[in-house]
Amino acid sequence: MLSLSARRPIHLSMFQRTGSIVRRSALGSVFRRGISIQPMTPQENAEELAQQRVHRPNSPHLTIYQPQLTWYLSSAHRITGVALSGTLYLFSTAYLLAPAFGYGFDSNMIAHAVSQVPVWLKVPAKFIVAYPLAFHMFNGFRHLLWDSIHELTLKGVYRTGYSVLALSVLTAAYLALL
Amino acid sequence: MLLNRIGLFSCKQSRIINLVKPITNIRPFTVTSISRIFPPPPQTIQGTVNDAVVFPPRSKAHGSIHWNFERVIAIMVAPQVAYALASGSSNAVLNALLACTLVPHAHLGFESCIIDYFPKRRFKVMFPLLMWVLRGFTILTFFGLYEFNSNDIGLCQAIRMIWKS
Repeated sequence: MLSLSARRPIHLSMFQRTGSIVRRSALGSVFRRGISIQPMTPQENAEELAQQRVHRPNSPHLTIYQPQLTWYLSSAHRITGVALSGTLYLFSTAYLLAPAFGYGFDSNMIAHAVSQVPVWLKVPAKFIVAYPLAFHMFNGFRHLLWDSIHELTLKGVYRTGYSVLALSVLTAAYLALL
Repeated sequence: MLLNRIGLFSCKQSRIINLVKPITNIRPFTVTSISRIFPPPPQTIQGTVNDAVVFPPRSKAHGSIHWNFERVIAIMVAPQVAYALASGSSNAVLNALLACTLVPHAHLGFESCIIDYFPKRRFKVMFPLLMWVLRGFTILTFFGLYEFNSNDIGLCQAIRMIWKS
Protein backbone atom coordinates (compact mmCIF):
# COMPACT_ATOMS: atom_id res chain seq x y z
CA MET A 1 0.00 0.00 0.00
CA LEU A 2 1.42 3.28 -1.02
CA SER A 3 0.40 6.39 0.70
CA LEU A 4 1.77 9.44 -1.00
CA SER A 5 0.74 12.82 0.19
CA ALA A 6 0.81 14.16 -3.33
CA ARG A 7 -0.82 12.00 -5.91
CA ARG A 8 2.08 11.86 -8.27
CA PRO A 9 1.98 9.12 -10.80
CA ILE A 10 4.80 6.62 -10.76
CA HIS A 11 6.86 6.34 -13.86
CA LEU A 12 7.87 2.95 -15.04
CA SER A 13 10.00 4.15 -17.84
CA MET A 14 12.41 1.22 -17.68
CA PHE A 15 9.68 -1.26 -18.38
CA GLN A 16 8.40 0.93 -21.07
CA ARG A 17 11.73 0.99 -22.79
CA THR A 18 12.23 -2.70 -22.34
CA GLY A 19 8.84 -3.47 -23.68
CA SER A 20 9.21 -1.40 -26.71
CA ILE A 21 12.50 -3.03 -27.64
CA VAL A 22 11.55 -6.64 -27.12
CA ARG A 23 9.38 -8.09 -29.80
CA ARG A 24 7.92 -11.52 -29.33
CA SER A 25 6.09 -12.12 -32.46
CA ALA A 26 3.93 -15.15 -31.87
CA LEU A 27 1.16 -13.04 -33.20
CA GLY A 28 3.36 -10.32 -34.50
CA SER A 29 2.40 -7.99 -31.73
CA VAL A 30 4.30 -6.36 -28.93
CA PHE A 31 3.96 -7.98 -25.50
CA ARG A 32 4.67 -5.65 -22.68
CA ARG A 33 4.61 -6.26 -18.99
CA GLY A 34 2.63 -3.59 -17.28
CA ILE A 35 2.10 -3.00 -13.60
CA SER A 36 0.04 -0.07 -12.52
CA ILE A 37 0.16 1.26 -9.01
CA GLN A 38 -2.39 3.68 -7.71
CA PRO A 39 -1.51 5.50 -4.50
CA MET A 40 -4.13 5.28 -1.74
CA THR A 41 -4.52 6.72 1.70
CA PRO A 42 -4.95 4.29 4.64
CA GLN A 43 -8.66 5.15 4.77
CA GLU A 44 -9.15 4.33 1.11
CA ASN A 45 -7.25 1.11 1.54
CA ALA A 46 -9.39 0.12 4.51
CA GLU A 47 -12.54 0.95 2.56
CA GLU A 48 -11.46 -1.16 -0.38
CA LEU A 49 -10.66 -4.05 1.94
CA ALA A 50 -14.08 -3.70 3.54
CA GLN A 51 -15.70 -3.78 0.10
CA GLN A 52 -13.80 -6.93 -0.80
CA ARG A 53 -14.82 -8.58 2.47
CA VAL A 54 -18.47 -8.04 1.64
CA HIS A 55 -18.07 -10.18 -1.46
CA ARG A 56 -16.05 -12.87 0.22
CA PRO A 57 -17.75 -16.09 1.34
CA ASN A 58 -18.58 -16.48 5.00
CA SER A 59 -17.43 -19.50 6.98
CA PRO A 60 -20.41 -21.73 7.77
CA HIS A 61 -21.49 -21.57 11.38
CA LEU A 62 -25.10 -22.52 12.06
CA THR A 63 -25.08 -24.99 9.18
CA ILE A 64 -22.16 -27.07 10.40
CA TYR A 65 -22.37 -26.92 14.20
CA GLN A 66 -23.38 -30.27 15.62
CA PRO A 67 -27.06 -30.24 16.57
CA GLN A 68 -27.19 -30.15 20.37
CA LEU A 69 -29.97 -29.63 22.82
CA THR A 70 -28.12 -26.66 24.32
CA TRP A 71 -28.09 -24.33 21.40
CA TYR A 72 -31.26 -25.68 19.79
CA LEU A 73 -33.26 -24.86 22.90
CA SER A 74 -31.51 -21.51 23.24
CA SER A 75 -32.40 -20.60 19.66
CA ALA A 76 -35.95 -21.86 20.21
CA HIS A 77 -36.23 -19.72 23.35
CA ARG A 78 -35.25 -16.64 21.42
CA ILE A 79 -37.39 -17.43 18.39
CA THR A 80 -40.49 -18.18 20.47
CA GLY A 81 -39.85 -15.05 22.52
CA VAL A 82 -39.63 -12.88 19.44
CA ALA A 83 -42.74 -14.51 17.97
CA LEU A 84 -44.81 -14.00 21.13
CA SER A 85 -43.60 -10.46 21.75
CA GLY A 86 -44.03 -9.60 18.10
CA THR A 87 -47.60 -10.82 18.21
CA LEU A 88 -48.29 -8.76 21.32
CA TYR A 89 -46.69 -5.67 19.82
CA LEU A 90 -48.46 -6.00 16.48
CA PHE A 91 -51.81 -6.68 18.08
CA SER A 92 -51.61 -3.75 20.48
CA THR A 93 -50.35 -1.25 17.93
CA ALA A 94 -52.94 -2.45 15.41
CA TYR A 95 -55.68 -1.98 17.99
CA LEU A 96 -54.39 1.48 18.77
CA LEU A 97 -53.74 2.71 15.24
CA ALA A 98 -56.49 0.99 13.26
CA PRO A 99 -59.10 3.75 13.75
CA ALA A 100 -56.60 6.30 12.43
CA PHE A 101 -56.53 4.43 9.12
CA GLY A 102 -60.25 3.87 8.97
CA TYR A 103 -60.27 0.21 9.96
CA GLY A 104 -62.15 -1.20 12.87
CA PHE A 105 -60.19 -3.66 14.93
CA ASP A 106 -61.91 -5.51 17.71
CA SER A 107 -61.58 -8.67 19.70
CA ASN A 108 -65.03 -9.64 18.47
CA MET A 109 -63.75 -9.49 14.91
CA ILE A 110 -60.95 -11.92 15.63
CA ALA A 111 -63.22 -14.23 17.59
CA HIS A 112 -65.69 -14.24 14.74
CA ALA A 113 -62.98 -14.97 12.18
CA VAL A 114 -61.60 -17.79 14.29
CA SER A 115 -65.02 -19.33 14.82
CA GLN A 116 -65.37 -19.83 11.07
CA VAL A 117 -62.45 -22.26 11.08
CA PRO A 118 -63.45 -25.96 11.19
CA VAL A 119 -62.75 -27.90 14.39
CA TRP A 120 -60.31 -30.39 12.87
CA LEU A 121 -58.17 -27.43 11.83
CA LYS A 122 -58.66 -25.50 15.05
CA VAL A 123 -57.15 -28.02 17.50
CA PRO A 124 -53.79 -28.41 15.70
CA ALA A 125 -53.72 -24.65 15.09
CA LYS A 126 -54.28 -24.05 18.79
CA PHE A 127 -51.47 -26.44 19.60
CA ILE A 128 -49.18 -24.60 17.22
CA VAL A 129 -50.12 -21.30 18.86
CA ALA A 130 -49.94 -22.57 22.44
CA TYR A 131 -46.66 -24.44 22.11
CA PRO A 132 -44.39 -21.38 21.78
CA LEU A 133 -45.99 -19.85 24.86
CA ALA A 134 -45.63 -23.03 26.90
CA PHE A 135 -42.07 -23.63 25.74
CA HIS A 136 -40.96 -20.08 26.39
CA MET A 137 -42.52 -20.15 29.84
CA PHE A 138 -40.91 -23.40 30.91
CA ASN A 139 -37.56 -22.53 29.38
CA GLY A 140 -37.84 -19.20 31.18
CA PHE A 141 -38.17 -21.13 34.41
CA ARG A 142 -35.08 -23.07 33.36
CA HIS A 143 -33.17 -19.81 32.86
CA LEU A 144 -34.28 -18.52 36.25
CA LEU A 145 -33.17 -21.83 37.75
CA TRP A 146 -29.71 -21.29 36.27
CA ASP A 147 -29.66 -17.71 37.49
CA SER A 148 -30.22 -18.96 41.02
CA ILE A 149 -27.19 -21.22 40.56
CA HIS A 150 -28.87 -24.60 40.18
CA GLU A 151 -28.42 -27.33 37.56
CA LEU A 152 -25.38 -25.60 36.09
CA THR A 153 -23.78 -28.87 34.98
CA LEU A 154 -23.95 -30.64 31.66
CA LYS A 155 -26.17 -33.33 33.11
CA GLY A 156 -28.34 -30.69 34.73
CA VAL A 157 -28.67 -28.77 31.49
CA TYR A 158 -29.76 -31.83 29.57
CA ARG A 159 -32.05 -33.01 32.37
CA THR A 160 -33.82 -29.69 32.62
CA GLY A 161 -33.85 -29.37 28.83
CA TYR A 162 -35.71 -32.62 28.28
CA SER A 163 -38.08 -31.79 31.14
CA VAL A 164 -38.87 -28.46 29.51
CA LEU A 165 -39.61 -30.17 26.20
CA ALA A 166 -41.87 -32.75 27.81
CA LEU A 167 -43.72 -30.24 29.99
CA SER A 168 -44.26 -27.83 27.15
CA VAL A 169 -45.70 -30.52 24.89
CA LEU A 170 -48.07 -31.67 27.61
CA THR A 171 -49.13 -28.14 28.49
CA ALA A 172 -49.69 -27.18 24.87
CA ALA A 173 -51.74 -30.31 24.30
CA TYR A 174 -53.84 -29.53 27.36
CA LEU A 175 -54.38 -25.96 26.21
CA ALA A 176 -55.24 -27.03 22.68
CA LEU A 177 -57.98 -29.27 23.95
CA LEU A 178 -59.54 -26.63 26.19
CA MET B 1 -2.61 -1.33 -4.64
CA LEU B 2 -4.88 -1.88 -7.56
CA LEU B 3 -3.43 -4.40 -9.98
CA ASN B 4 -4.46 -5.43 -13.41
CA ARG B 5 -6.11 -8.82 -13.17
CA ILE B 6 -4.48 -9.97 -16.35
CA GLY B 7 -1.87 -7.32 -16.17
CA LEU B 8 0.89 -9.08 -17.98
CA PHE B 9 0.00 -8.78 -21.60
CA SER B 10 -1.06 -5.75 -23.44
CA CYS B 11 -1.24 -5.89 -27.15
CA LYS B 12 -1.94 -2.28 -27.71
CA GLN B 13 0.30 0.60 -26.95
CA SER B 14 -0.36 1.52 -23.33
CA ARG B 15 0.53 4.70 -21.62
CA ILE B 16 2.99 4.81 -18.80
CA ILE B 17 0.28 5.17 -16.20
CA ASN B 18 -2.58 2.76 -16.36
CA LEU B 19 -5.53 3.94 -14.35
CA VAL B 20 -7.09 0.62 -13.59
CA LYS B 21 -10.77 -0.05 -13.22
CA PRO B 22 -11.83 -1.33 -9.80
CA ILE B 23 -12.11 -5.11 -9.66
CA THR B 24 -15.79 -5.97 -9.76
CA ASN B 25 -15.90 -9.28 -11.53
CA ILE B 26 -14.07 -11.53 -9.09
CA ARG B 27 -16.08 -14.44 -7.78
CA PRO B 28 -14.92 -16.12 -4.60
CA PHE B 29 -13.48 -19.55 -5.23
CA THR B 30 -15.60 -22.01 -3.26
CA VAL B 31 -16.25 -25.70 -3.46
CA THR B 32 -19.38 -25.73 -1.32
CA SER B 33 -22.31 -23.46 -1.92
CA ILE B 34 -22.20 -19.93 -0.62
CA SER B 35 -24.66 -19.66 2.22
CA ARG B 36 -25.64 -16.22 3.37
CA ILE B 37 -27.00 -16.82 6.84
CA PHE B 38 -26.10 -13.67 8.77
CA PRO B 39 -23.54 -12.33 6.29
CA PRO B 40 -21.17 -9.94 8.00
CA PRO B 41 -21.56 -6.28 7.24
CA PRO B 42 -18.60 -4.37 5.82
CA GLN B 43 -15.95 -4.43 8.49
CA THR B 44 -14.17 -1.28 9.41
CA ILE B 45 -11.19 -0.66 11.60
CA GLN B 46 -11.23 2.35 13.86
CA GLY B 47 -7.96 4.12 13.18
CA THR B 48 -5.26 1.77 11.90
CA VAL B 49 -4.44 -1.84 12.62
CA ASN B 50 -1.86 -0.74 15.14
CA ASP B 51 -4.26 1.06 17.45
CA ALA B 52 -5.47 -0.72 20.57
CA VAL B 53 -9.09 -1.79 20.92
CA VAL B 54 -11.26 0.75 22.70
CA PHE B 55 -13.41 -0.95 25.31
CA PRO B 56 -16.84 0.46 26.17
CA PRO B 57 -16.91 2.39 29.43
CA ARG B 58 -17.92 0.53 32.56
CA SER B 59 -21.34 1.31 33.84
CA LYS B 60 -23.45 -0.48 36.40
CA ALA B 61 -26.59 0.86 34.79
CA HIS B 62 -25.87 -1.10 31.64
CA GLY B 63 -24.33 -4.04 33.50
CA SER B 64 -25.41 -5.55 36.77
CA ILE B 65 -28.40 -3.29 37.41
CA HIS B 66 -29.77 -3.99 33.93
CA TRP B 67 -29.33 -7.72 34.47
CA ASN B 68 -31.07 -7.62 37.85
CA PHE B 69 -33.91 -5.60 36.39
CA GLU B 70 -34.37 -8.15 33.60
CA ARG B 71 -34.61 -11.03 36.09
CA VAL B 72 -36.96 -9.16 38.40
CA ILE B 73 -39.34 -8.47 35.51
CA ALA B 74 -39.12 -12.11 34.40
CA ILE B 75 -39.86 -13.32 37.93
CA MET B 76 -42.88 -11.06 37.98
CA VAL B 77 -44.17 -12.21 34.59
CA ALA B 78 -43.91 -15.94 35.17
CA PRO B 79 -46.51 -16.55 37.90
CA GLN B 80 -48.98 -14.18 36.27
CA VAL B 81 -48.87 -16.03 32.97
CA ALA B 82 -48.94 -19.41 34.70
CA TYR B 83 -51.93 -18.38 36.78
CA ALA B 84 -53.75 -16.93 33.78
CA LEU B 85 -53.20 -20.12 31.77
CA ALA B 86 -54.05 -22.48 34.58
CA SER B 87 -57.15 -20.82 35.93
CA GLY B 88 -58.44 -19.14 32.81
CA SER B 89 -59.69 -16.28 34.93
CA SER B 90 -59.72 -12.72 33.77
CA ASN B 91 -60.14 -9.60 35.83
CA ALA B 92 -59.04 -6.01 35.64
CA VAL B 93 -56.18 -6.43 38.10
CA LEU B 94 -54.70 -9.38 36.28
CA ASN B 95 -54.96 -7.60 32.94
CA ALA B 96 -53.33 -4.47 34.29
CA LEU B 97 -50.49 -6.33 36.00
CA LEU B 98 -49.92 -8.43 32.92
CA ALA B 99 -49.72 -5.35 30.72
CA CYS B 100 -47.30 -3.69 33.14
CA THR B 101 -44.93 -6.66 33.23
CA LEU B 102 -45.29 -8.30 29.82
CA VAL B 103 -44.49 -5.16 27.85
CA PRO B 104 -41.19 -4.42 29.69
CA HIS B 105 -40.30 -8.09 29.44
CA ALA B 106 -40.83 -8.06 25.69
CA HIS B 107 -38.95 -4.78 25.40
CA LEU B 108 -35.95 -6.17 27.24
CA GLY B 109 -35.99 -9.26 25.07
CA PHE B 110 -36.01 -7.24 21.88
CA GLU B 111 -33.20 -5.10 23.25
CA SER B 112 -31.10 -8.23 23.74
CA CYS B 113 -31.78 -9.25 20.16
CA ILE B 114 -30.74 -5.84 18.83
CA ILE B 115 -27.58 -5.83 20.93
CA ASP B 116 -26.69 -9.30 19.70
CA TYR B 117 -27.33 -8.86 16.00
CA PHE B 118 -26.54 -5.16 15.54
CA PRO B 119 -23.68 -4.46 17.95
CA LYS B 120 -23.10 -0.82 18.68
CA ARG B 121 -19.43 -1.00 17.78
CA ARG B 122 -20.14 -2.07 14.22
CA PHE B 123 -23.46 -0.42 13.48
CA LYS B 124 -22.93 3.18 14.43
CA VAL B 125 -26.20 4.41 12.93
CA MET B 126 -28.41 1.33 12.83
CA PHE B 127 -28.08 0.55 16.52
CA PRO B 128 -29.47 3.82 17.93
CA LEU B 129 -32.06 3.89 15.16
CA LEU B 130 -33.34 0.42 16.02
CA MET B 131 -33.29 1.20 19.73
CA TRP B 132 -35.44 4.26 19.25
CA VAL B 133 -37.80 2.46 16.90
CA LEU B 134 -38.15 -0.24 19.55
CA ARG B 135 -38.87 2.32 22.25
CA GLY B 136 -41.51 3.92 20.06
CA PHE B 137 -43.12 0.55 19.44
CA THR B 138 -43.05 -0.31 23.12
CA ILE B 139 -44.78 2.91 24.03
CA LEU B 140 -47.41 2.32 21.35
CA THR B 141 -47.87 -1.24 22.56
CA PHE B 142 -48.29 -0.21 26.18
CA PHE B 143 -50.74 2.48 25.25
CA GLY B 144 -52.62 0.17 22.92
CA LEU B 145 -52.82 -2.52 25.57
CA TYR B 146 -54.07 0.03 28.06
CA GLU B 147 -56.75 1.10 25.60
CA PHE B 148 -57.63 -2.52 24.93
CA ASN B 149 -57.96 -3.29 28.62
CA SER B 150 -60.08 -0.19 29.17
CA ASN B 151 -62.36 -0.11 26.14
CA ASP B 152 -62.44 -3.70 25.02
CA ILE B 153 -62.87 -6.76 27.17
CA GLY B 154 -59.29 -7.07 28.43
CA LEU B 155 -56.30 -9.19 27.45
CA CYS B 156 -57.07 -12.43 29.27
CA GLN B 157 -60.77 -12.34 28.44
CA ALA B 158 -60.02 -11.69 24.77
CA ILE B 159 -57.63 -14.62 24.57
CA ARG B 160 -60.18 -16.79 26.32
CA MET B 161 -62.91 -15.72 23.93
CA ILE B 162 -60.78 -16.30 20.84
CA TRP B 163 -59.68 -19.64 22.22
CA LYS B 164 -63.19 -20.87 22.88
CA SER B 165 -64.81 -19.53 19.74
